[in-house]
Amino acid sequence: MNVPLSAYLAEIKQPLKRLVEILAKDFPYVSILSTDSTGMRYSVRKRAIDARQSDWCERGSVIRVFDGRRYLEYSFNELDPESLNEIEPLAGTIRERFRRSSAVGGQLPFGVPELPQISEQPLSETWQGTVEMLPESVPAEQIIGRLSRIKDRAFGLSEHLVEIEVRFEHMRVSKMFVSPKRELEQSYIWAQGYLIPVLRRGETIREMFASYSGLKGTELIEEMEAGLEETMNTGVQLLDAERIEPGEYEVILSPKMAGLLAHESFGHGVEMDMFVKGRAKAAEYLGKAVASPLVSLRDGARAAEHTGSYWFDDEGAPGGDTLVIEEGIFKTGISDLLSAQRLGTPPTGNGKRESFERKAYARMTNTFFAGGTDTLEDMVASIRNGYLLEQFISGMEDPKNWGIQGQVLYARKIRDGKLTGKLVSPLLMFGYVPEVLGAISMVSREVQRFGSGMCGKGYKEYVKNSAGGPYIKTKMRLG
Amino acid sequence: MIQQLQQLLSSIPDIDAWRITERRIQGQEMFFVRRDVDMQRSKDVRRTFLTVYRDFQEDGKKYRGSVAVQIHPSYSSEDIRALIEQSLDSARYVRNQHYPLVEPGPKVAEMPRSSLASRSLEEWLGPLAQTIYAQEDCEEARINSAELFLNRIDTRIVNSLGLDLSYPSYSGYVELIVEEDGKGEAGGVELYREMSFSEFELELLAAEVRDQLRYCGDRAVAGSTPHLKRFPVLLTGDPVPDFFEYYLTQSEAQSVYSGISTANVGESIQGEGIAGDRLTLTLEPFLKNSPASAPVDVDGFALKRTQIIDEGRLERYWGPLRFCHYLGVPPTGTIGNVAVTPGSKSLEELRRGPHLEVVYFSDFVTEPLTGDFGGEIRLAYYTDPNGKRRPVTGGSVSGNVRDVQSQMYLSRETRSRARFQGPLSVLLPEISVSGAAST
Repeated sequence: MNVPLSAYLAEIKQPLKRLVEILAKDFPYVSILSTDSTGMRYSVRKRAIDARQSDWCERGSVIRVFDGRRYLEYSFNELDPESLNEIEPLAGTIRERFRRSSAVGGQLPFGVPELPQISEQPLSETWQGTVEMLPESVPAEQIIGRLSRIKDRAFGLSEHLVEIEVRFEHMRVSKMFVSPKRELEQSYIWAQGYLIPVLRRGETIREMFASYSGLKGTELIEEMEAGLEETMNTGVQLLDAERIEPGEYEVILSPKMAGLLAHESFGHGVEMDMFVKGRAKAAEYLGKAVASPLVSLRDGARAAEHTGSYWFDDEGAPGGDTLVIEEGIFKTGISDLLSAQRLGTPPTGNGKRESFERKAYARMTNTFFAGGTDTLEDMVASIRNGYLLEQFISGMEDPKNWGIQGQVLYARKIRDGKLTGKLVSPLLMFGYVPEVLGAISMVSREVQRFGSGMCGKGYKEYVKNSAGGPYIKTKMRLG
Repeated sequence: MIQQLQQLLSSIPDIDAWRITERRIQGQEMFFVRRDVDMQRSKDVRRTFLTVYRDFQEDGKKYRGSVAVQIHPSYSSEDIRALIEQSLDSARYVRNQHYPLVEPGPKVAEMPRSSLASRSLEEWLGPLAQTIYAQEDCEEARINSAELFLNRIDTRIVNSLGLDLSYPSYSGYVELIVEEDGKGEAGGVELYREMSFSEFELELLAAEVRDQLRYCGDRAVAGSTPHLKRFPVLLTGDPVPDFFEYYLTQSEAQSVYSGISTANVGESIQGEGIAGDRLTLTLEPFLKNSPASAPVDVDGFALKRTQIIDEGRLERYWGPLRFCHYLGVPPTGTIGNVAVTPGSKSLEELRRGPHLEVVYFSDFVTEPLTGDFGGEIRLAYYTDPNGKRRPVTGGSVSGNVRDVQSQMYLSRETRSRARFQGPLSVLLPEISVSGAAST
């Protein structure tokens, strides 16, 4: 079924159009992004249940103006439809706020560069995602009941289980963008779920986690139910995991780990606001080889249907499908609107905000390596002494120096072409991006994508996206 | 909004209790690329959170279900009523052991006045930016970009038992990127730093920026970290607060209630046979210059200075009223700042002998449940067996808090940085150091 559009956004659309018209008399460019995103998060543990609105919920607006030299923004949320009947006073208040900001900026002993004005082609679109069943229509009793049964079943699977969190979260994202030339509306649903068992045997304690996500509703809980046994089995195996002997190894990255590599290496590394700042080493490699010829990498809100998908970004640019690396050659980066204006490149629909309260930056959407022709079995058979890296905890980018770091929850030991059944945990994977991508020697066929959790730029500006790929064989430093 | 909510709540039957937390946030933001103002932003938002509680009994046991929702300022009365009624219905299935809400009590401590309160936020942007950029007058490195955020936050907490508290606070944040363009073999490097504050401490801010520029210059000429296998590691600066996260989780009431922590009050939380410094850890509601300082926690519980660990011995569990009630221990509330008592040795003493002093990781992580810690090295100083000290980069360190805690030494020198006051450095006995393959 189609995801309904926000009634609130529909109600404020005409007044906001009027507000844009009024402000456009004072500013060469004006746009408004309004949001009305809502959802719930349910968490069931051994002795505690939590039900609350998702932290991703938001309802508010951000106005962007161009004052002839640069861009100013104002975020606010006390905008009820009744106050919009008197639009002139509101426009006056906003105008005054921008005048004060301009004055403060202008008085400082810093440069105020003359930035190019946004040029938009007319566009009017409405987009509704689809879902099997709207999660908001499913009673809490049903969702909590299903999560509780997963929890109860987990305790029957291992005597070592101390605690488990079974979490399900759904969001209906609704956004509207209005400028003199554009009227865009969209509404779609995503969901994510987690199984996080904690197991103890003697002094050894381990935490395992499995995550599930997609443009889905409560049907995601079925995937969680199906994944419990494997999650618990791996958790039990983690109790016997050893520490790794640090060194460089031949490794196979699972599709999840391949997603982390894509995300941290040529995801963050080609966000083009970093090109504007001179922070991206990738800028020196446009049109040059940066990876093995087996490697192709895409990013785009429309490149896949996953949690990074949308129809238009937070600056009113249509979502894209960008071929970042083609057979090892770096083709183009991903860009927000303002960076594209400054660099003279086409925007790729990657301007994203954490919420209406925050600035837009160039951000990833759905980022993934393309599939190849190899099989996982052949990859394992080709390794004498190495590891299959399966599950990450976190990663960190280093766009200027092309380092990559990943915290890995566990890896499976491979000796003489066979999986030994032994795990190492936890471990770090790190390396120099061109070396890691250049050493990719095998790529499996099927691409999988994952979109749980969130992505920060540095340590802030958290947004939703997805990453993935096939199984990939390369060499990395592990520690 | 609060008054409207209170009226609505009083007209809806079946609500056994409720709590409203409202924050009005007024913010000013300025974004720089090199020395140019790239964008200015401001915001004025109100965030109102409502938790409704519903009590019920099953098999003679009392339960308290709750659902927490955000009430947006643009919601109509009908929207709010529908949301409350739906939340109340859902709360019936949130089967939690009963617990009390915070009762109104004696006057809570006053929030110390921030120096940022003396001017408007807009007026602080200039001095803040000028202080940061004034430090650029050095040869080592320069500022690539900076993002400045200043917020004034007015918080009010009201509950159905008559609690009604409010306090102002300030939160400042700077993201600073410094760079060096090609002095060393790496052909240009950068370092990332975030700084959080709640006061305008000119000297402190200037010193942080100068350190950052100096570190970046050192990273530019750093060699590869040697493969040291097992080696003494001195953590300095930013990684230190993260290292102590393990002890916070182990002593937290919720961890004990859920069974993931087995720490016992009155026993050593630092293991047996402690040969190094003994850990003393205190939670501080008011830490100067910390945006986490507050007179009350999110429940409205009045906070006071509370010692959790004394000389390695767990004194008490800490946590919100609910989980302390479950454990039958006195509540402390959720206190946002941590103070660790400095150690027995000076930094000079800790630096004697071969060691690796890590000042920058790509991302240092301590897993608070297991105690595993580690990270990739962005900048460290290697002191070899001949006593020669040189900057290195790449490679990683890893270990487990439980394996090193009996032999760790904390520096006498201290550092105060957002949410943490304590030793500048922690010396860990031999832990795993993997060398860099390349830079």
